[in-house]
Amino acid sequence: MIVAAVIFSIVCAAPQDGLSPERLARKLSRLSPRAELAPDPTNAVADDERAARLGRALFFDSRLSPDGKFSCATCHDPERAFTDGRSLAEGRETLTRHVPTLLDVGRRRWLFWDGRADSLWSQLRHPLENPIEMDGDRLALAHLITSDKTLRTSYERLFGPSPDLSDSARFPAHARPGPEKGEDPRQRAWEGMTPEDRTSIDTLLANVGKSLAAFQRKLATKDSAFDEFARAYLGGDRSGDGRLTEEARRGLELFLGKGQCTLCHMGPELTDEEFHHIAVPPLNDDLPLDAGRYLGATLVREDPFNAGGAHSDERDGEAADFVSLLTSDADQFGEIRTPSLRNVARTAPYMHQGQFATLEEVVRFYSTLEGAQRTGHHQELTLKPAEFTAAEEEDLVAFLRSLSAPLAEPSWSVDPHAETSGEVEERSR
Amino acid sequence: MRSFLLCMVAFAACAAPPPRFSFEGDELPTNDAAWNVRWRTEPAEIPLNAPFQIEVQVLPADGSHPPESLSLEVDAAMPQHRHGMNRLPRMVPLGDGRFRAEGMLFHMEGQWELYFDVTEGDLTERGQTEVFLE
Repeated sequence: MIVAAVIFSIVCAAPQDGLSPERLARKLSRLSPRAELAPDPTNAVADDERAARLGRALFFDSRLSPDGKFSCATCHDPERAFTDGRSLAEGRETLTRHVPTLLDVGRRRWLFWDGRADSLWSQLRHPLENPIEMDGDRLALAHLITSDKTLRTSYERLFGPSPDLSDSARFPAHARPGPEKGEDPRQRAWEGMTPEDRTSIDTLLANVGKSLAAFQRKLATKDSAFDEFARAYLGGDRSGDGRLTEEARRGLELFLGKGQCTLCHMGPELTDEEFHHIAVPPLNDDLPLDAGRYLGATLVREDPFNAGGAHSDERDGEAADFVSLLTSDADQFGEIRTPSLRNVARTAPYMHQGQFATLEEVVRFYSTLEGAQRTGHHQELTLKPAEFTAAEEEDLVAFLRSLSAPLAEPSWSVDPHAETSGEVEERSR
Repeated sequence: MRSFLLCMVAFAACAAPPPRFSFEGDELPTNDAAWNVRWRTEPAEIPLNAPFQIEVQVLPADGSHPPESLSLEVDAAMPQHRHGMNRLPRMVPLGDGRFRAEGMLFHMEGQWELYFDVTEGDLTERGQTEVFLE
């Protein structure tokens, strides 16, 4: 989700080469430093180390898929900045969108390219139960948690007793809600369960999601070269003391000035966390028209696992407000979430279908808008060609490369099964 | 005595002051000047890409008291970008023509148009102003 470098170049993009020091300082102060990771009151264990350890164990556990072929790490590969390096995700079939990175994912307002989830913990069921992704199901997950002594112990320390699934007539081995294509026996099994039993399974699913969310919040990156430059500049060192190359420094001024990139890539996260028409043509003609936010807004508002739902730990807070007030109208058709540009150089290819292999291609597109495609009428007209020179394009790319930084706590990216012979660390403590 | 009291009540009613705006803020008329709309934001400076509220008071331009059936919708859009907000604010009626629009959010810098749609009976009138956010 954070992969594409959406360099929005805006109407009225009059050349503003050479920002005054005062103006540059004012604009820099909006981009750096980053605030501390905000708490997630909808997830009571969001910052619980025990939950993060359980979540990490599950993240790398391929038993979440029925044939043991897929774990979360299959597509979100730590060696590839938690992406897969492909244009389109490869699950059991080729999906229609690109795998987003998980770096700094704890800071996202919405998840997925269409924002169909409003929290890290609620997004789990989408990849888990999608027939062309992991193709797992929540009953199998519940049986895994309750039958694996280590997992069960970790779970129960956090959330209390796990459900008793010993009655196979009440709790089949596999079940998940629909609707889906054709007659899915797992959907029928789910519909055969009592509402109370379904609720107990949904609670477990939400709790597992909260553990995975606690782990993913650990995937935070350190300050980048750009942050170091901003700290020096705002501290009075107008030279930046070599923290950015000359090319990157010029690229920064283009980013803030002529390109007006901060219209959408604003604030310390370099994203407005919202949705826009990016006019990028689809990767190929076989891909269906992407409804984007038009569908995503409806899905998240109706999601029983959203911030205002029964499984949220704060049902009347700001996050619940965000989702309850969402609009969903035709203007949003085709809108795609603005990705953060932090670490963008590590997450090629770019855009929601991986349309561009390199940052150079991305910048060239927004410089010319050659091939831009509108999905209909009555939609946003934010984009205009930035008309960068070739040298300016290189400078802007140099700036984008200055936004990379390693994980603050790299040990969290290591598969604990490889470290401790398949045991959750909790057990050895 | 009874007629004296009735006279006093009638006098008091006649002497009731015309409705006044109950807070300081920007003021504008609706498009056919039937209503005056006064508004202010909380916080006073609209934050970029963060929720804020608008307090609104609507008063009839003829000086009468606002009817109970008066309703108000608040919305906003960026005309240059041809898009609006990504959310619809929650309208909380506060009585006497006052309302609070909760959950406003301007997610981009630039020129926003702010719309106050006042509805009474079958008629809706719009008060409109501009806000520049940077």
